[in-house]
Amino acid sequence: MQQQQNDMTGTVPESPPPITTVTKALQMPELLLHIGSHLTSPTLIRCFLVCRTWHHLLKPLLWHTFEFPAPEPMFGSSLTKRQPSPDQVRRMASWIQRLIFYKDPKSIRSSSFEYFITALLIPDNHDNKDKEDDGGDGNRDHLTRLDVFFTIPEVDRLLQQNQGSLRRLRITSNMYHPAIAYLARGVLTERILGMSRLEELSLMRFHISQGPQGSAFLQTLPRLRVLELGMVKLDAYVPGQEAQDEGQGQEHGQAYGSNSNSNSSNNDSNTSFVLPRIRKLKLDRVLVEGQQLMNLWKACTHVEDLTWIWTRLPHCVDFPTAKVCDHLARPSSLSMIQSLSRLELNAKTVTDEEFSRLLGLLPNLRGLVVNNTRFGPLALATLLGDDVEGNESRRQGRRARGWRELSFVNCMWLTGWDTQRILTSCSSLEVFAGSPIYISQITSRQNLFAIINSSTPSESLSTTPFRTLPHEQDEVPLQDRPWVCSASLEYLDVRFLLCTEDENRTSTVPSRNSDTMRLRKGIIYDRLASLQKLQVLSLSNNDGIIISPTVIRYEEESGTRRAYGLDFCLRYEMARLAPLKRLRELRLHRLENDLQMGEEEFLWLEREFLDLVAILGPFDEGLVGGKSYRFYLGRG
Amino acid sequence: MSAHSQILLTSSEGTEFIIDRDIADKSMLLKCMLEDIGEIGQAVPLPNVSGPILTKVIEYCTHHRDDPNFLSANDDVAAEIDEWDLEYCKVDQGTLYELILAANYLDIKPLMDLTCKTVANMIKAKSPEEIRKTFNITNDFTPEEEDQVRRENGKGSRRLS
Repeated sequence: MQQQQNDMTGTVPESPPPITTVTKALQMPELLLHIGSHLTSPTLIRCFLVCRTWHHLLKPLLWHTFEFPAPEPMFGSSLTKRQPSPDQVRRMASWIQRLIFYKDPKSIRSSSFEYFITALLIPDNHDNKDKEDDGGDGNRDHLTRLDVFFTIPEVDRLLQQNQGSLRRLRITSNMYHPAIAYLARGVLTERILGMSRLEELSLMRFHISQGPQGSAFLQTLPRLRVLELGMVKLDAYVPGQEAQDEGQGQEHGQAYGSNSNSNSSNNDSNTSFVLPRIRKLKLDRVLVEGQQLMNLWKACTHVEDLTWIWTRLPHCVDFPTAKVCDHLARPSSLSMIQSLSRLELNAKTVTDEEFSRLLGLLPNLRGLVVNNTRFGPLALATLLGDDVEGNESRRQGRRARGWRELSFVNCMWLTGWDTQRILTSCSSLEVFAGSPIYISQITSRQNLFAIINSSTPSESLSTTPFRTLPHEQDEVPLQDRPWVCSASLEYLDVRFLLCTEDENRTSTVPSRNSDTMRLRKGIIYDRLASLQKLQVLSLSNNDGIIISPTVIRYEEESGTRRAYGLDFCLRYEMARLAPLKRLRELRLHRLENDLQMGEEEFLWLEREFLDLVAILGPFDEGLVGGKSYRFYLGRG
Repeated sequence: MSAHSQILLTSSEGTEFIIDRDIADKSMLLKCMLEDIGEIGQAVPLPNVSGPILTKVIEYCTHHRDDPNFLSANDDVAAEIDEWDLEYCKVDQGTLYELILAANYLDIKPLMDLTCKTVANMIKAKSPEEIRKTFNITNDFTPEEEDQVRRENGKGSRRLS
């Protein structure tokens, strides 16, 4: 079994390198550059260390992607690129193809933001000189990706100069700030509509008004492959898929400007509004009338990746599960059902039953990210394929095996036991996050217990028809069953692995050589060798079981609180993570944010981490050490 | 017109392949050639591509035959490879290399991107030592040089701000 797994990873270092052919490809500068252009900057930096040729050839590629501000220098991280001077930027400007601004310029020195943008612009006086070459507009047309805050007028010029080359664009405005909103008022009609190569558009905190703006937006949509709306107020009228929207369409068309009217008359031959090109749709807190949002979603007939986020903002439309299910159940929605492979939902009102129905309707779903919903036992049964009532046990297994990505965040109805069930039955997982409770929101341990004990429905385990597995497996207690992780598991977040008691409210200790315990003790087994990111919570005692409130109270009173929870990797030394050759991000969480480390403890942790870095090479994210010595590795 | 016309290709071993014109057009090399000289009814020799590789390339072009986004290739680093393409690239490294060369030669950008991305994924998340081992590369840095590269790229510089 284990040998097989090793074969599957393919690149186990022990095997003598039979591979010389790709090496040939990597020796050809042209091909190496081509390959290098698909690498992200942390990987690139690691590649510099491979050999002289690589260092020499790949170094300029680092400038293809430019992040501003450069990620904060972090300890042991490979990403500690210094902020370049504007002079450097100007020299390298022609290299930059992807430009990403992470922080709101208000939170940094806005003068440097402005300076930076200006450095990228073609100065006005050059406009005249370049006229002959570029048809007069002085277009740079270098940037293919831009992620920018629209807070200064220069941004508009940057957009204008790169109108012909941009493929991915993300604009963050601020619709609540009149001056900033005013700047961005014409961007849809004057800039975005003219971007012929645009494929991915993200609008954040943006107001799409009726009239020309709205119709420009709707005209841009059919070209896009990815659409993301984050906190967008959408006033433009989105036509329904059905041509005659109960006469409502006419009314709106007339009310909202001549453009949309002429549109509908132009497209008389195919009156329905469909966006078959869109593969990824993200609706993040969109403020819009419910029917409009449904129309938008319905139009995306071939969407593969759907994200729907809801908050309690007024006018924010929650995920209308019943309506969505009804629409999906129609024969005309076949393409949507078949193409949808990833779903991310953050919707508090969706019930367990509704979720179960939704999952039942989507046979091709391979990824599910659930945040803040009442995802519970019924939905989990559908997810694992348990609900087929045991008459076709093979089919059930297939459903469970198909999942590639499963993340449960803030899903209080799921328990550590459910996590365990997923890990023992889904064999092709690449990403798994089973942290039912949002750590950062928990302020005290007592709260956490209260949540676990009160909001976990007791039927979670008892009423679920989980007795459908072959009988021999039944004899092995759930917590001792081997995990069936695939050879390609990249991300594992098991912050809440087995932290609740079983259905009889008696804690059950996993046996010493179970996978659960081996992970907790930092003994990493071969099957996890592909892991790149690991998140765990140091919460339990040595046995991996949550400690009862009385014990905590005792520990608090006796002042032993600080040493508490260091069971994972620290107790057993971080060096034990060394077999995870691919590990690039490690996060160790403590239960409480206010429970910080002492300096001594931190220095010790730092030393341990550096030893690990010496073995594994630089991490993508380093150890965060500030004044407050927080307890995690990697960015929080 | 082109829907029915077919093109004859000869691989390096002399094996003949008959493919539809619209599939041949996926290759910029063939497309330009056919546009320039017209269809001559003779076999187009491809001395740089072997039979098995050509089969593989044709398989790719046939699968993406009706893909409207074929040429608007995505240059995004993080873009995911779709399932069929992923399965398609599950070949031994020798074949992968031949595919890169063939895609380069025939000028099929999406295939070039796909194969290069596959190699990039093999590099991703590996330590320099691991990369050297995987691709059998010798480390020709002197220890001082290596140290300097390391330092340049910030290892150990704990805080700069």
